[in-house]
Amino acid sequence: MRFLEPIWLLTGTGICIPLLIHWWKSRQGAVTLVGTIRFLPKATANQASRHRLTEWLLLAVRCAMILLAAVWLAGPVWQKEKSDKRVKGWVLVPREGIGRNRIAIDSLIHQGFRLHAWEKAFPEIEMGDTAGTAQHRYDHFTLLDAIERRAPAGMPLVLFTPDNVQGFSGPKPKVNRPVDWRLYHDQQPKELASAARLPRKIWLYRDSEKFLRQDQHLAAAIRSLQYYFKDSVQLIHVNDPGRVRPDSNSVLFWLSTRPLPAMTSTGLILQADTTQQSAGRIIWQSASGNDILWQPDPAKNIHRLSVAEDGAGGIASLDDLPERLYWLFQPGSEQQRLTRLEDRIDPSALVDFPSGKKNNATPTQMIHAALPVDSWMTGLLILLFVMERWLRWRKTKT
Amino acid sequence: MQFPTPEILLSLGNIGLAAKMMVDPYLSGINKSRVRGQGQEFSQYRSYQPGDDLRWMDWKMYARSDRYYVRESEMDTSIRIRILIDASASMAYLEGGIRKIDYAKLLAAAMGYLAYRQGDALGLMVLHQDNWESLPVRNDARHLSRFFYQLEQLQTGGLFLSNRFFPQLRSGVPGKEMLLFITDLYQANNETLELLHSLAASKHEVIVFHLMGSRELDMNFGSAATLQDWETAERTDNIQDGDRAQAKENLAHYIGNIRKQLLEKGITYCQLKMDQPLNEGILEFLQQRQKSFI
Repeated sequence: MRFLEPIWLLTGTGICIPLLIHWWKSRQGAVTLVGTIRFLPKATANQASRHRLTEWLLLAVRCAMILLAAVWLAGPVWQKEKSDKRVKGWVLVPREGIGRNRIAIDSLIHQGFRLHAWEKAFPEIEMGDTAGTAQHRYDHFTLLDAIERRAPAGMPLVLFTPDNVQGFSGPKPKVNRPVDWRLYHDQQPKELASAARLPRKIWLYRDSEKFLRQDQHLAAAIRSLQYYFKDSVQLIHVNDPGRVRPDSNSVLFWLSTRPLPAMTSTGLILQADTTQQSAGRIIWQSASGNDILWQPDPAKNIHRLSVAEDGAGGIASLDDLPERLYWLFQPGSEQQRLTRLEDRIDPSALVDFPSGKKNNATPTQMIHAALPVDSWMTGLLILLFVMERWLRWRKTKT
Repeated sequence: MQFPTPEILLSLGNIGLAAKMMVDPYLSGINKSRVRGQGQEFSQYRSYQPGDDLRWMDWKMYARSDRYYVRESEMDTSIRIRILIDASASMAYLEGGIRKIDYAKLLAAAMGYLAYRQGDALGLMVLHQDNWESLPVRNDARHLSRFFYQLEQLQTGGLFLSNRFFPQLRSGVPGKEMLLFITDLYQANNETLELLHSLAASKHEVIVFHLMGSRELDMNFGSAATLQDWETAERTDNIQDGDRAQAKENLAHYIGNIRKQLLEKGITYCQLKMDQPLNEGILEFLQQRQKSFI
């Protein structure tokens, strides 16, 4: 048996109180030596024996109650040890996150990891065990602190957690084991799709080979959106400015150094920019901090798209271009997307953990199956309390 | 007459002195035995009564007065007195600052000193569970000192003398003696009564001084939570008010039964309370001693 909060075991010293009371009462009731007690009625002697027995029972029950309460407060965990040399570590994932990380988890399990649910009791689960997959609010640092004490010493952990920053509150606990913490987006694409509104037509104008690469990137991203949402969005490639006729429900990508032709009615316009001089509202930025998409005039729906060739400042550097395009196409939802991005945990916030480090310590080869002891201990505590009350009543009655 | 209380006597720390303080008031003005008989010192003439021994007829008086007179003189009244003390653990019972055994020592010292002053031979026998201490019956001043010393060294413990020692004990009491037995009469298997009966059957004159405390007789042991038997170490809760009457009745029945059995065997029973002066015990001794010459 191990304890999650062993400091509470100190409350067990509280048994001094009933012991002192018992000793004091015994001392007060001094023994008087008499010539003989044979003339006392038999009932008195029997009653006295019962009385003394009840006193001792009461003392024992009270001490047991205090000790049990101390153990209960210390958070006992009964661990059944079984030898299993194949276990290389624990994979911890919220039940609702199994589907999102199925491939990675499956791979880890094949390597010898054991799958555990990322919840208070850390039960061992199977891949298909997604019962209770409702969205929970997690406090990952608290759970990490608990798993640090519950998991076998040195056992490597692989954590899969959503990247919502709300789940990372409080101080970061110290861990003495390898922890590979992997974040994933918990937004469900299908849920977004139900409210998705893609433009009916997407015009892609390019008049030179200069922007071929950007053209390919954008076309691929748009096709992926088409495929994913099974939407009948129409992608129209043109190289003649005269044929470009966007309407209010369409998007125009202007990959050209030519100035935009005058258009009476148009939707969203993304114009290639080679100056690298952003102005106005910045919408997209690359990982290196370069501005990729910006809106020079908020009153107009013309955006400037950086088409730098170096790979670091252009759209080619964006791994999540389809998703960004998706959010850009949603009317009025760009700010929401940005907010979502800000709400995500920065993986660098988790660098304190020895993630990916080689574990020098030999991890234990024992599996500790945690068994819940709270319920029967609470029951025992209640039973002892009832017994104590009954003995007290019996003593008072006699 | 004011008699010193047992507390005062015990505070003297000298059992011999305490005995003198107790006994001397009884002996003031009495220096000789009043028992008349055929002694060395002339006492009086009295008329001849049929049955008188003719050897004590004063023929000169007959010649002078033509009447029969018998010459009487002070008789040597020396008798053998042996004091037996029950030294079982229950005699250590404490009440009012006095233990039963201390009261017994004072009583024995007083009666021993009185006997010595009366010219009686004195002996002591202290009964323990598996043995007894015996001081032979003698009549001299040094013997009295030994008697007091033996009393001062007396310790309690264990049960009453086992009955397997009774024959041996009886053989140690030769001839007719006055046996003063000081005890609390607490016995496990009637062994005290058995001993007394056997001694009475041996033609000894036995007087039992039964020591009891007032609270003991009332079965009132104060506010103590627990009572413990001195001899068996058995414990029980203090007696409740509701049970006291029953306990007193049990004790009274026990004492009454013992008294009846003693009287049937011709044994004198005298109950003494520890919070009372010892004069009652001394008077009882004197009365019984006087009777022994009638």
